[in-house]
Amino acid sequence: MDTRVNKFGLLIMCALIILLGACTHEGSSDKQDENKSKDHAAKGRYLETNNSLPQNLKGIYALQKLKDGTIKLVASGKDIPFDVYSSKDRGKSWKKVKASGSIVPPGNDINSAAIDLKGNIVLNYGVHEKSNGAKLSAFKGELTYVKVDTHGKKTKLPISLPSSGKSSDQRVNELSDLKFAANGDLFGTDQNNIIYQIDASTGKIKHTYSSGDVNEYGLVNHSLLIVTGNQVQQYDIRTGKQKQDIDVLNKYLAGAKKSLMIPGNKKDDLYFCNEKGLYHYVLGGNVVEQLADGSLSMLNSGNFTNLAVDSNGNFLVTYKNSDQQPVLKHYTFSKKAEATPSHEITVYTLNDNSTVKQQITKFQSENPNMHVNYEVGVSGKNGESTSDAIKTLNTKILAGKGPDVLILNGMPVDAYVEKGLLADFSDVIDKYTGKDEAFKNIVEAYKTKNKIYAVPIRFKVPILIGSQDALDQIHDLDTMGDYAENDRKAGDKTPLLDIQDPSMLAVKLFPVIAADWFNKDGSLSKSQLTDAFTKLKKIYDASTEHLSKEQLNDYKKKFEYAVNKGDMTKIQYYDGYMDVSNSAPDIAEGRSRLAAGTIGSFDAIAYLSSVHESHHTISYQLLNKGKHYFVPGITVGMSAKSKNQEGAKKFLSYLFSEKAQNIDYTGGFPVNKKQFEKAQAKPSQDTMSDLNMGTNEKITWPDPKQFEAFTSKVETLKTPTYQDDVVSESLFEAFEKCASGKESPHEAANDMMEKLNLYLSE
Amino acid sequence: MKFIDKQQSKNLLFILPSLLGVCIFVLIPSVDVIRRSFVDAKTHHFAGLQNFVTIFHNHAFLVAAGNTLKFIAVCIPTLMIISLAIALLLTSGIKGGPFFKSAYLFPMAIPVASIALMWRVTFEDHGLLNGILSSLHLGTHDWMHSGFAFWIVVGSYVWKYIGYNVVLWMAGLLAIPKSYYEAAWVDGAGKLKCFFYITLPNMKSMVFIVTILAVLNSFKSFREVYMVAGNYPNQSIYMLQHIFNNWYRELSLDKLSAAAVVFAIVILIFVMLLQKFWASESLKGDL
Repeated sequence: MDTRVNKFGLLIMCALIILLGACTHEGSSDKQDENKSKDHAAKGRYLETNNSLPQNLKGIYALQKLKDGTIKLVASGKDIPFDVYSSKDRGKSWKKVKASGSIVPPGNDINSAAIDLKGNIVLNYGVHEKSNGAKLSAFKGELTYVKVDTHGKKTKLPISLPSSGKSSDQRVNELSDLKFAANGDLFGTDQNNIIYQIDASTGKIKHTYSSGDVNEYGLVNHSLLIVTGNQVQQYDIRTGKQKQDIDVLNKYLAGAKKSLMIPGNKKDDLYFCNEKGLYHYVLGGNVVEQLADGSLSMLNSGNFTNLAVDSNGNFLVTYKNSDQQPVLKHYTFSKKAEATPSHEITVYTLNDNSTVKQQITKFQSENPNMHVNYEVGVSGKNGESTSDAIKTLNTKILAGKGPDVLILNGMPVDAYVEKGLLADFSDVIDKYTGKDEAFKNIVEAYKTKNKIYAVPIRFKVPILIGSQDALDQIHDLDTMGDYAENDRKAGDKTPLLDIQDPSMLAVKLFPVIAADWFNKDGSLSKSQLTDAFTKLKKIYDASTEHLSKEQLNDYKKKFEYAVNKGDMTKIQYYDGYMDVSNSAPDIAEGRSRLAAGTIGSFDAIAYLSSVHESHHTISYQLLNKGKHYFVPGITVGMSAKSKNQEGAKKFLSYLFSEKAQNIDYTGGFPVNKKQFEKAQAKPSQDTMSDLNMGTNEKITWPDPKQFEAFTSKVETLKTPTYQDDVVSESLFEAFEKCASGKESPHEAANDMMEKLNLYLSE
Repeated sequence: MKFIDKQQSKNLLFILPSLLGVCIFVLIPSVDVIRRSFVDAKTHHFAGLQNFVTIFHNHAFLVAAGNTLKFIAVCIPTLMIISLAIALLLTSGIKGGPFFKSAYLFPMAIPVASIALMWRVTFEDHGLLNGILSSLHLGTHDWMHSGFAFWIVVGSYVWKYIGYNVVLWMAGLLAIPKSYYEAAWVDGAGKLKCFFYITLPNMKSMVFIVTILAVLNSFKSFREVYMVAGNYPNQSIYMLQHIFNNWYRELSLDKLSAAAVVFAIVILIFVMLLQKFWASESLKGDL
């Protein structure tokens, strides 16, 4: 009997264990869900559509739905500092509101504006500080507060705030981010992050709210919600007293990069948006409802500026696009649209990339049946390194769960190509090169055996700026080293290059000189390396001999601190010093004799051509000109294991289109020829003012001939610069010792070879 | 004729869930690694022994293997001798024995990241050690980027696992019947003779266990080295785990698998030799 009980007990235990194991097998339940969802896809989501705005708007300061359902906005236009428009059809068309032109005097700009539920407007305006004729962001002196009623009548509001309290800060304390509460009181934040509650008719301060840092604040019924770095605080605006914090909102708002909050149509309704989406919350509740997924819309970009809800419960959001122009999007609920698009692809990048994010947003809005998942390898939240992120990616790829499109910057591209992990997408590229719509020399730079596995969608050009006499003598590192030596012998005290640190010099020249150090079998050539260190030392000495040892040490500590604080590699930190777009005026003003680095925008051509016009001896040429190098910007590839190759190719094709190439933050010139030409159009007066800031040279926009000369140089580029973080990091370490005199060039070369020995032999 | 008897079938049922887990997470992946060691990563075709030939001609692999063997050869005897000496002291009845036992275990409780941070603070260019040397006008040194790095890793390993081994040794020492020592004292044997003729012979099986565990723990020292020095540390501390890590990043799974198979064979031979020479009769019976 006992034996039977034992056996029975054993069998039950084994059966339980096996059953529990089966229950945790996620794969099969995911598949079941996937199959279910295909047959009975959930329906209903907010669709994003474009709404037109009045012509020539520069900025939108306030957007509000009034009690009667009209949508009103306060904006500034070209040469008109203050304009008001209203829409009776929920933002589809706009009509100018009369008698708004004289409210803000010419020459003044609006700082902030708010509209109450009746349509009354309160705004403050002033005159911007200027430097060298260019406007700065700070205002000169006090701002003027005015109230404009619904008939256009203007009244000054005597709002006076306590001083800013910072002894070194001479600026007058002013209100920004103006908003109206439901009870008609005006709210705003000052320079010390204090929120003021003001009687909108008299300008008297009713209450103040001080909570340290204020990322955003909102007004719902009688509550003021303040979003700080780690919590959402709540205050009663009738008494000015703090109420219980709203913990359920912390996850969505506290610590978010950017957010907007507005009251809804019902009493305690709150609507807010951040990069992750649009949400609804009822005060006092425990549930936050996501209405729209940020990844499926432009919310993902984080460039929203105003949010309003219309009378139908749909939403209006204004954004600033990549050209800093206002854009209006309408979010309407569609019962028929699938809750999530049926076609999905994943785009993977090691580091967050704003340009790619924007392109994904645009692509999704034009392809509503496609959803693009954006994955970042090194998010910075978990302390993972680039190497860890690549290993995690490799694990996913091997498991068949890898991304469809890869942003290849920082990844072992050669290894991926060798192991067959990247798919050939030359058919996508041929569509553009066949019609001469892309720079064939750039996009086919990585072509091997008629197959294309990786393509740069943007590029930069490495150049050397200096006097024509210097440019005639300098062709490569050797001749630059000789020029540096002769320069010193001639006794010229002007620094050769504007550098203060050995790594800064190494970063600037490494991409165009490193390829020469390698033998055909991939090993390092000791003689070439020693020679390179010798020349680099000469250039470094000629550029820093005017600095004392103490000054050099101070710079070294400053850069080390910045690199450690930013938790980045040296090449990532010094990347900011690579841009020599605005170095030509420095040479004209005698701060250095040469400038070496990269240019990635046509502003650089403006500087170069303007300086050449006024100082005919100063010009530019390609750096290490015999090799025709270009610096690949964002490089893309497609996974050979992608389950949605069609979708991936569609997205890749979009990245090369004129529309997508219109978006850029720092990646360089577009490879699309049409966009390349379009970007040569003269920019706005504000941009020209910005270009003239901080220089005594008069910067004008180049004429077409100057652009043609540059374009013909671009068409000769054919070799991507050498990119290898391991090699560059060991160069920085070795060259630092050589530059400071601790090691000779020969010893530094030995040092570097020892360090790279293992890496290259792997 | 029964293949297994009733008792054995009961035993099998008890170990079945654990056995399934080991099969799924250890045995099957190991078989896959062996399979991959004979396959070319680029063409996915059978490559015979080519991968093994490749790794033995790979300079980085030879350096890593050499360093790993050197590390084991230096660390294991050092750790065992020092920990045995401490265990003997603690079992001899000195004052504060339990306190010292806990104190020696303390390093094991310190997280890897904290140890890595300690290394950086102590051995970096502007670290504590260079600061002290500089104040004494003795000149500074780049500790982590020179041959000293190896001894720093050895020291860190010994410091971390000494307590663990002390506890193991103490368990073995306390299991030796006191009557053996009493009989020896009566016969006029001194402490040294007792150690060599009573203690050591009775500790053979413990030596086997301690050695195996020490070798396994030696592979964990990679974590601190990786956190401080990254993928490519000084050549003296470039171990097999580094090259495995880097090959995985480059997806050179053929070379990685071949190296893993070679390494597993070496460890297996080592364990079998140890078992032959050090495991006691009773332990052999159990195994």
